Amino acid sequence: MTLGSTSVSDLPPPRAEVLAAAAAFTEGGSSRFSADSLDRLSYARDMWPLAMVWVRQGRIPLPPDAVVWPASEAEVAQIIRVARARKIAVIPFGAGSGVCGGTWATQGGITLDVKRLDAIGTVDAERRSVEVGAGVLGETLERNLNAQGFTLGHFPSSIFMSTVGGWLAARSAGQFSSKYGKIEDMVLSVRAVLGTGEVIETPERPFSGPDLVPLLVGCEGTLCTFTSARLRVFPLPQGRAFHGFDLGSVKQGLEAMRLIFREGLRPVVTRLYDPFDTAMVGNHKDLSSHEVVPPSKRSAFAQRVLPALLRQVSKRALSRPAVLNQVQRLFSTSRLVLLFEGDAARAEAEDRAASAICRRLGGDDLGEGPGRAWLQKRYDVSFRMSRLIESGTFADTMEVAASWDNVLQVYERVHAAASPYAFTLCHFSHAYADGCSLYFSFIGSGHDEAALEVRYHALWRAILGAATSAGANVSHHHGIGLLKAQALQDSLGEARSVLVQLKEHFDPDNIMNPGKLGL
Amino acid sequence: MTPLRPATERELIDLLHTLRDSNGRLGRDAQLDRSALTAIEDIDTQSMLIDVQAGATLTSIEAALTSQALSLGPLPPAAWSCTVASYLEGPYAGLRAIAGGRLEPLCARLDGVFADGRRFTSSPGPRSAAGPDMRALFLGASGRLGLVTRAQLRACAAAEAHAALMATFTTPREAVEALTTAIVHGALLSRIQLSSRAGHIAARIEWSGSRTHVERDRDVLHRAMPNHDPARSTPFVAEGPTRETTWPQVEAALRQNHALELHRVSLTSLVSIGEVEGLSLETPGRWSMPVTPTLIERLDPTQLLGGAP
Repeated sequence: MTLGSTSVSDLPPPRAEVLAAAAAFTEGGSSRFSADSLDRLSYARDMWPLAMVWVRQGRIPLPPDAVVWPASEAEVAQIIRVARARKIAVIPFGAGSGVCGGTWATQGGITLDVKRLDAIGTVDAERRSVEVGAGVLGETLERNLNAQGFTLGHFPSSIFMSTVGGWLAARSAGQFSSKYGKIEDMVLSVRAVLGTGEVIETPERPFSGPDLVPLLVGCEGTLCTFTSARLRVFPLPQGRAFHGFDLGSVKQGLEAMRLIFREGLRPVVTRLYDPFDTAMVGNHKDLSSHEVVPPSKRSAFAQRVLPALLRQVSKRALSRPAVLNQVQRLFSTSRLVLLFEGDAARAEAEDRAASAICRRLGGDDLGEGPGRAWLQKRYDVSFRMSRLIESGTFADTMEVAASWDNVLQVYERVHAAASPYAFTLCHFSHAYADGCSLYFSFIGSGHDEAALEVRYHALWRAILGAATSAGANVSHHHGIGLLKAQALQDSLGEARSVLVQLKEHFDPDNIMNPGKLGL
Repeated sequence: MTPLRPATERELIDLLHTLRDSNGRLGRDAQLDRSALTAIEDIDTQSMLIDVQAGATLTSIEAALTSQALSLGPLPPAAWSCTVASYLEGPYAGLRAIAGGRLEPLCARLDGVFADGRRFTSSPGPRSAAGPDMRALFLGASGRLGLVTRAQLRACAAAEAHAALMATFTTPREAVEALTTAIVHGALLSRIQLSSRAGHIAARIEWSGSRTHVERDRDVLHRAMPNHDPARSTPFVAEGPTRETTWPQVEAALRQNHALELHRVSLTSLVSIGEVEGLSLETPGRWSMPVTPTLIERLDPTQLLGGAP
């Protein structure tokens, strides 16, 4: 995979054909257009850790030629029609929290930021649903729904910096997906503008014939851009029940999770940390010691001296990741965090039933503490990643899913495949009756920046190959973007050309987010 | 019409090639019969998944699952005579209800072939974010975009216990609100019979699961429905068309004193036997989705699979 980058201080100028279309993009409406360097710089990357490594080096991905902010669905349609007529690439953009390069402007063009499509309707209490604009930020939506007595039940780690449109584009999952489902389980209907410029609205069930929603959700902007969606909502939970257990091994922990779902219990959260993750992250005893301080509020020591120290320590430690990974074998305990919510009596009853399963498997009952601690700190880890990257390492995550009979095999094979390249941790979450997601974290280094990047790409080739050959899929909820495009194409086999036909159908001029999903 | 009865996926692909070469069309010149594709290939008792070929009937699959203490779970009565292919491709669209009021595809994975003979295998794993979910080209599409050849179906633990209760409500709204509240709170209801008499709504509600699960659902139902009694009466025989409908339509039918039997109950939609507005599950109608007829033209330009219904 060859990815273009440029120096932060020396952006290429915007293409003349894009500047020439500025008036057409905004004509007769309130769309805003900017080819300002700062705007282009801001939209050049998402949160793909590779780009964060590049930023450390003073580089960024090639920026879009311009950024456009439409204020209505009609304006989105107008922009796409103008772009289509002039063969200008359009990159739909929510809040940029993706981690796979899904919004990189690899061929220039315009970034279409939908954040001004920010209407939130009144909850239809009878049908338990709400109409939401694609640009609404997750945390804003949840707060609004809470004020109306409802919840969406969708809490991705990126909730403060991701939008409804982005969730739909990348098939997002929230931390409470075991009960409420992933975003595709919450969608009743969508409105979208196709690459043809046509506006479509999908009907709600019941309807006759195939459902278009699963074809559009997950397309990562390659077929359409979403403008709004009608989403299922739930009444605010009346009660919660928390529990933590230490189990003798990953295998026992997975068995506990499997039996909990086989019994028909639906915790909102089941989160099993592998032994080393249990030792490092899962051990939430002190609720106050890991507060994340934004860079602007850090002391000079924290801003300059500490990163330099960390850089040296981490580079040495991570130069031999296989040794570090071997150390993990000294640990065996796996921590399982459970959280139930909803009807208070039901939540407590399900907690009792799940706890009985864990005890039967020899689990050490840790009470409510681990669950409450996890809930309090559940968004912190995303903010820690940038600190790790600042310290001179690379840090990344891979989330895949597999059925229960394959989960342990996927865990072991990915661990082995990653071991020469990066220190590896894993937790298991987003559980279902037939399997769960495995969420790996990798931290690696190199003797210089070039070697680090070579190692980073070698790691990804190794872990995706190991995961899919062991029975996992390519992604559970981060999506594909540029990072996993080849793996997706490989997994599609003969159906690869059908995806191309879908692309030709919905986006005949190939203007929508070119290059993503391998299209 | 020439009957086409492939015994393997490879044979099906070859037959499609032959039909295309003779400018033939399924449904006009040839009739596809998948009754030789009936193998039950594997049961994964850990993940509660079963691999089956497209011609196997849901009844035969249920029999195979029963021997492993598993089940396909509560499905509408008419579904049990369906084959895997007809349940997935037909108006049921292969959907099942799960706890919390959600719908999900009965198939965890799906294999199929497209009109040009290319094979498709969907992504493994319980859920995926690997691009568009192309199972949508098969589910509910009447075999016009692609043909199912094999599926991995989701099962659940076989029920250890069954329970039923009677509840009464003063208005249709109260009945619908109580039932949907119970569903939101996790009750997985297998059958609901509703009748409207003398200004009151009577409901007979059935559910099943493990013994402890049945008791948890009983507790939820008791709190959602203060006026309840053990079900002493036997269920009535439901009559009328089978339709996919919504809760507001159920409420409207009750206001007109219609008796209904509800299955595959979710918050999104449900299957009803009786006089209620909705989508017929017996006779497929014109497709509702925008752009799908043109999608057929793209994927099957010669209309080998029959063209738009």
